[in-house]
Amino acid sequence: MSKLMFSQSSLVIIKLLWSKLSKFLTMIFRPFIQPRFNKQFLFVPNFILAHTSTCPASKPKCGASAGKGGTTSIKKIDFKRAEKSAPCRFGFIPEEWFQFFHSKTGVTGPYIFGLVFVNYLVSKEIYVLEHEYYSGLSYVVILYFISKKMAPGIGASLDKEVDAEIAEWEKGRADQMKVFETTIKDAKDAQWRAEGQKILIEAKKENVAMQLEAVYRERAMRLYQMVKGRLDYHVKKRRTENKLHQKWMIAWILENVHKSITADFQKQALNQAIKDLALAASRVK
Amino acid sequence: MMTNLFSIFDPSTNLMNLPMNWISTILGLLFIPYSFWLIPNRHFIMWNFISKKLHNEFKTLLKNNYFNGSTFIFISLFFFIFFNNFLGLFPYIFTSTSHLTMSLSLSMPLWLSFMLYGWINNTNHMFIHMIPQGTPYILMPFMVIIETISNIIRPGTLAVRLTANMIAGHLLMTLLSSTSTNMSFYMIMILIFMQIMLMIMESAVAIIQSYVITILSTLYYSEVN
Repeated sequence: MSKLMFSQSSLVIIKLLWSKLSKFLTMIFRPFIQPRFNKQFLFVPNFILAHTSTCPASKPKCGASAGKGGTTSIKKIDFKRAEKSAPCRFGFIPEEWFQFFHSKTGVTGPYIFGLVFVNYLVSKEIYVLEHEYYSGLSYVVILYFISKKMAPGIGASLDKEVDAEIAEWEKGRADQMKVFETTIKDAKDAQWRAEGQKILIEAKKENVAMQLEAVYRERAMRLYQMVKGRLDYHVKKRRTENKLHQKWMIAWILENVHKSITADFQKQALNQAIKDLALAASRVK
Repeated sequence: MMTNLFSIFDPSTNLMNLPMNWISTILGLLFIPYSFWLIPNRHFIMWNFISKKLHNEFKTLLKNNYFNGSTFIFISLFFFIFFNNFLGLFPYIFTSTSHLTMSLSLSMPLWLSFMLYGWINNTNHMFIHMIPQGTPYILMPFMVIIETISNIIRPGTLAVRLTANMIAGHLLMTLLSSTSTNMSFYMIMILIFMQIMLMIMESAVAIIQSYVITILSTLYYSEVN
C-alpha cells in the first residue's frame, strides 16, 4: 500500500519536474530551432544561426509585402550571390558576433567574453588539455607562420593567374571591339567613297557633255563650211559670169568703138589736140 | 585518457552509439572549389593547377593506354586520400586512411578490377608480362612464381603502405604531445618546436603517400593493356 502511494507521489513529482524541464528546455532551445530573432529574449544568442548580410535568405522575400492573398505573379529572384565572403576577424570569427555585444559592452566585450568562456572550459576541465591540444598548438604556430610568410607570395602569384584570365577575357572583348570599330570605319569609308562616286559620275557626265558639245560644234562648223562652200560656189560662179560678161562687153564696146572711129574723125581729133596743146603752151609762158 | 597508445585510432565520437568520426572521410569534399562566376578565384586556380599537373603526369605514364578521361579516377583518388591524410593531422579530426578498412577498400577493388579485366580479356599478355626479356630459361619457373606473388600482394602493399605511414606519423605526434601534459613551460616550448618539425614532415608524407598510391595504381592500370 505504501509502495503504491510512494509510486503515485513519485509519478506526480516526475510529472511536475518534467513539465518544468520541458519549459526550460524549450526556452533554451527555441532560438536554435526557430532562427527568427525575438528581441524580448535577452539571452538568446542568435548569432549561432544568424544569417550574414550577404546571405540570400535574409533578404526580404518577394511577395512578403503583398500579403497572403496576393496575386500569383512571377517569382522574382531579387537576391544576388555574394562575390566576397562575409567580413570576419582573425579569419574565422564572423563580424556579427562582435556586433552582438557592442551595444552593451562596447569594443572589448567579445574578447572578454571569449577569454572568460575559455577560462571556464579549461578550469572546469570541460575542455581537457591533452595531447590533441598540444599538437593543435604546434599546428596553430605552423599555420600562423605560413599565413604570414608564404601566403602573400602564394596569393600574389595566384592573383596574377586570375589577372591573366581576366586579361584574356578582356582581350577577347577588346579585340571584338576593335573588329567592330574597323567595320564601322570601313563602312564609313565605303559611304564616303560612294559619295565620291557621285562626284565622279558628275564629272564623267560633264566630260561626256563636253565631248558631245565638241562634236556638235565640229559638226556645226563642218555644216557651216559646207553650206558656205556651196554659197561661195554660187557667188564665184556669178562673179566669174560677171567678169566674163564685163570682159566680153568691153571687148564688144571697144570693137564697136574701133569700128566707129573713121579716118576723118581721127584727123579732126588730132587737129583739135594740137590746138589745145598750143593754147596750153601759150598759157604757160 | 588513452588506454593504450593505439586508442587514438579508435572511433571516438559517438552519437547514440553511431561512430560519427568517419564523417571526416567526406570532409575533404568541402575543399573542392565552386565555379560559379566566369572569372576563377585563387582557390579554383590552385585546384586547376594541381589537377592539370597530375593529369599530365598520369597521361605520360599511361602512354598508349590513355583514353579521354582515363585520369579522372586517379586524380580523384589522389585528392580523396590527400585530404583524408592532411585533415587527419589537425587536432580532433579522425584520420580515416589510417584504418586498413579504408585503404583496403580503395586499393583492392582497383587492383582486382584491373587484374580481372587483364586475365579475362588479355590473358596471354598478362602471362607474358610476368617474365622480363632476356631471362635464362632455367630461371623462368621461379620468375613466374615470384612475379605472381608480387602481383597478388599488390593490393596489400598499396593499402598497408598508406595505413602504416599514417599510423606511424600519428603515433609519433601523439607520443610527443602526450608528454607535454606534465611538463614545465620551457620544456613545452622545445617540444612544440620539435612537433612543428614533425608536423611539417607529416604533411609532406601525407602528400607523398597519396601521390605514391595514385602513381602505382596508374602503373598497374597501364600494365594490363
